[in-house]
Amino acid sequence: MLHLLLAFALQKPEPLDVVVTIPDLADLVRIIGGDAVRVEVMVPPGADPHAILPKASLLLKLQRADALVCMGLDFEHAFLPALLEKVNNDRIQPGQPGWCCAADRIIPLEVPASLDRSQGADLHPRGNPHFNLDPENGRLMAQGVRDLLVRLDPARAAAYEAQWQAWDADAQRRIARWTARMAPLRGRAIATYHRSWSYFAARFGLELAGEVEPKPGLPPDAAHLVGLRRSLREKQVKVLLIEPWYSERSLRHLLEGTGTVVARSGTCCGEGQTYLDFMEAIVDAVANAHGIPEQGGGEEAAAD
Amino acid sequence: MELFTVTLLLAAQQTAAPSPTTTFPGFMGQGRAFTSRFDNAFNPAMAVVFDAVATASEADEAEFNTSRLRLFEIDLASQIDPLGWAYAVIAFEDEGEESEVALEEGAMWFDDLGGNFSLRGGKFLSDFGKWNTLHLHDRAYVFTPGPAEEYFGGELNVSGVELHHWFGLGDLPLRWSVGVAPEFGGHETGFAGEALERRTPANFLYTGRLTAQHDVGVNGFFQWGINALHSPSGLAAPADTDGDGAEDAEFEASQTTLGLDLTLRLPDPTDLTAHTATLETYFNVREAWDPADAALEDRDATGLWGYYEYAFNPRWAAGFFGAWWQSVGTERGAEFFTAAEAAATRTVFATWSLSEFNRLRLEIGQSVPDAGEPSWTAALQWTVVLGNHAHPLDW
Repeated sequence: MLHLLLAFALQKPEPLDVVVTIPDLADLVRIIGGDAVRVEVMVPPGADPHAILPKASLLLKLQRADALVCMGLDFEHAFLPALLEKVNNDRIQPGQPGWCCAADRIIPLEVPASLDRSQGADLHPRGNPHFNLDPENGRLMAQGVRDLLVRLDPARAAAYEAQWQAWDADAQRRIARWTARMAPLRGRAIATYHRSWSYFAARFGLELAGEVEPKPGLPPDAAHLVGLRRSLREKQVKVLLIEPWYSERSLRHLLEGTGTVVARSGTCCGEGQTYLDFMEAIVDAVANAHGIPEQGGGEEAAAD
Repeated sequence: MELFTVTLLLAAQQTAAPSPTTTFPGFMGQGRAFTSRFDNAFNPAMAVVFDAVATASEADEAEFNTSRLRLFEIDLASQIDPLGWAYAVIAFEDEGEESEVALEEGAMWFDDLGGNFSLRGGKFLSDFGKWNTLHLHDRAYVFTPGPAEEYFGGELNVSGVELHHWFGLGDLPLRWSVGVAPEFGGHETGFAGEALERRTPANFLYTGRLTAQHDVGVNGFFQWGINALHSPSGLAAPADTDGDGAEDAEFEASQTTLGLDLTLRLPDPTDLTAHTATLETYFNVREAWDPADAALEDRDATGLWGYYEYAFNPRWAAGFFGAWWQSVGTERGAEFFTAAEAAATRTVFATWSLSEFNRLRLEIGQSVPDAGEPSWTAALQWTVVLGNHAHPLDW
């Protein structure tokens, strides 16, 4: 009997089951939660979140979850509302202790003053949902994850706090380095395929010269591409950011003679990438396209 | 039932509305301390669907050589209270010579029963097969599959209640539902021209479905479902089996249908291509009138349909559709229930989505009727969705 009680007392507590919507959030939960969490991610790395099916296995994951971490601002519109409607798990519903919505901590950009489908097919009434592309917002997302884990598992609060602090210190160092590297580009313009990069541009003082999509969610037409081409030339745009799922076919003529290069990047972490490595890769792509060398960051990163 | 449902929907809005909503002094000063009947904060979400179809066919029938706004649909949805929500689908359908307005669906969902049980009540498309709950304008092809038209009169539309339950068997999600419906009839009203009314449990329609969904790849699934339907008095209208010129008041021909559906969906979220393949079969046992013996006898009829679609990107998709079915003989009068011939259709279709809410589809196909000559038909469909939209759970 004593053995049994001892074994029970020494038994490691079950990890928290945390379902997250995108790989960026999965990385933050894994780093801050460590061994105390089990993470399930709904959007695979490199995927367009708009293309995720609201299928039954996701329902099952949510049913068993202790917590749900999502982006909000309708980022997960294609699958999460339908799942939350059917899942019978009060712990993770909005407003409950296991609910963590990253958008609650950020200031959204591009909140439409009025809603009208003439403004595009892919409209987000509560603002642009791609706020994870600003690393300072990444820090706010991490704070949200820390607070969630402390709330659900106060016994391990000190460990969560320490793991968050270590991550946040690394994030601050890197953001400082990226800011220094991108400083010469303040006021320079970049182009994008979809309106996903507003937060990234705002963080580093970049101007958005235009999008390949004439309106969010609509394919480009010839007249729009002619106008964009003129803009690329006039503003001497060096880089066009495009998500992996968009075709480059319409871009061949657009970019000819403009000096603009294409940089492919998803809007969430790719396979095997941490959130900070993902942001680093985007900064690299934009800076390299402008011929801005890394400022001793390699050694710093290695020392980290 | 329809009136009841709509009234409930409206009543729900009324009861949800009257609490004070603002503390802004300016509003108070303007006498706006209370929500008035003209505020829209608690109004249902609304969407409108236009579905126009133009067809040209070798067949002589006028219905296959026409261009018309096939459907103008108004969809409403709103939370009733914390316990449930309701929706209504009001359709204005152009049936060629005449048009009609119908409450296609008007139902309430109670999802919070606990233990993953939910209940739906009202008038709705029955949970029978993978696709029956999806309105025709939301599907990958233009016309109702022939077997569904033949055996259920189109999409199986019922007025009743349905209990749903889902659970996990290990990591495998499963779901079952059972339904009972005093009133039922095909959406396309192919049997009787109107939904039939059954007033005693012995005459109700009973349905059941069990389905499971297996993950395939990172974002796809394979789903199977088995379905059963039984009506002690059948889905057919009372008939004039004795040839006296009047429908037999006591005519009771039962129908039992077993169904199997298989669906594979493989959308690739990294390049936005997608494969969808589905097959749905129905095995019917139906009491049929045999004029030779002047008696009811069991008749079997089997039908199946399926399609494959490949989405090249979110804009373009193409595929093919096929259906084959044995007739149960649905004509009234002397020919009632005499045929057991097979019919078939095979079509190819291409879809161009100008945006998520604006779609053109061309479908060309051959129909082989159970009697008569095969004919080719071309159809051009234009579907537009205005207003609110949702992505429902896919299972």
